[in-house]
Amino acid sequence: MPLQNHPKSRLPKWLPIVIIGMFVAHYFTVALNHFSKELLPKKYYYLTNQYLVPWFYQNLTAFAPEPPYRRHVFVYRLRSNTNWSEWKQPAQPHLERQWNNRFSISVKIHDQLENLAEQLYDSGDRDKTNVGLLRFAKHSYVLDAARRYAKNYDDEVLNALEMQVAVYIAEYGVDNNQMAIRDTAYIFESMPL
Amino acid sequence: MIRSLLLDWQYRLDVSATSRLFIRSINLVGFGLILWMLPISNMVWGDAHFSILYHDFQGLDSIAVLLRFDGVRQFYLVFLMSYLGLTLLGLLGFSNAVSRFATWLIILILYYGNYDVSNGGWHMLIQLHFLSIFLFKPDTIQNETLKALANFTHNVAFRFIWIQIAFMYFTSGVHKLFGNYWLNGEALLLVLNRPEFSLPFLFENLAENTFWLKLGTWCALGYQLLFPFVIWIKRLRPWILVMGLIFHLFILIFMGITDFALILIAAYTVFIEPKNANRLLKYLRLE
Repeated sequence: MPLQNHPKSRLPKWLPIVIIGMFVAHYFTVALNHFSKELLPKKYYYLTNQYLVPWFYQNLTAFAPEPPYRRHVFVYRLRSNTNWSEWKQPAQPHLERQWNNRFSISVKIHDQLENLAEQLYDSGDRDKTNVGLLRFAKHSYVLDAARRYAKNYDDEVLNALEMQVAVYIAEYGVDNNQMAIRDTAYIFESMPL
Repeated sequence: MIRSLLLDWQYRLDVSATSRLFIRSINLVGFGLILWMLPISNMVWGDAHFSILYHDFQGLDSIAVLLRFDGVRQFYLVFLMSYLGLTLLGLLGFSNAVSRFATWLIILILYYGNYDVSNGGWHMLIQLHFLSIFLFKPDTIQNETLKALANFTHNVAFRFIWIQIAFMYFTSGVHKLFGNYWLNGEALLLVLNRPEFSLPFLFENLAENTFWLKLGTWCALGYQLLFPFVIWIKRLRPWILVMGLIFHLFILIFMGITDFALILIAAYTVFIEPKNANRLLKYLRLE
């Protein structure tokens, strides 16, 4: 649409510049934050986080630079007397429900359980640089969360004395145009219930 | 030219109908999202949770993480119901800057209450709620200076909503160029073999990277890199939006990231031409 001739500015001359400047500065910071994760010096990432976290935090680099090629699955088993149960994979039934219905709320239960596995893995014996929203939680906090899950959602806990948690890890790669999946597991210490 | 534009934005608000449609659509998707999660809300935000509530925010920042405090967490339903109420009102057309600010603040608090259930779509929804605060309604203002300020801020914020969405694709696309799997055309094969981003008939049968999978990978990458530029070209806009709709429906159906897809589809309403937005609002009997 063509611009029209208006008599004069109703706003002080500096005000439009300030308003646009604020938006530009905000998005410049957001851009600097995102591009300092991989491309620019990391110090800008921490610097811009001072302004962006928690109010304006956003992570828009999903599936980049690589799609997630490592899958972490939360598993645990319970001991009553001398017998250990089979390894339980609580997220699996929720995932299966979501395959049948893309609008199933089970996906959110699944995501929470898989994030627990992620946290277990990261807090376990990793030595990673923190590029996440919060510092990696202490391992003991994550173990507490795992125990809380079992206590809230697994009836077998009533007869159990001990719990052991683990992370099943599947690594996905492509070798000679063919899918290659390698799996392993991290087993953490047992803990009393 | 720039001076005339800055002046013009004080007097005219051509995008008002699109803004009204956009505000309704993000409120609709936000309302639907939280309503959807209501049956498991006690597990997500209540005392049956199993998330890690540790945080190190202090002072004013601790407001954002209110739901990580035990004393506040027990009242999580107040936050949920407030958000549902505000978004329902927004959907029905009853919103102003104050109510939109409250909506943004509450969704932010809910996000930090348990971000294990969120994804990039939630980040986008939070940002869109934030930017929508500035979509003032000048019609209700009598004072000429304030009216000009409302017009101007609305015009600027509206363009920055476009920039926010374009930035998401740009960032995601550019970062993919620094990996291997996207450029090699292997990303789609890799993703569709992950049970949580796929369907059994896909990951049980996709073992080889075919031409079609490579094409799919490069189309997704191309779309993300093109969107931030093509969206500003009026003649090409409908085409890129249709491609986007297909892209996000693919994510919904085959990858199962339902909330992300719905939030982005709702966000696309900001690109609808004002006259079509007006027509749509009337057709839906929303105005």
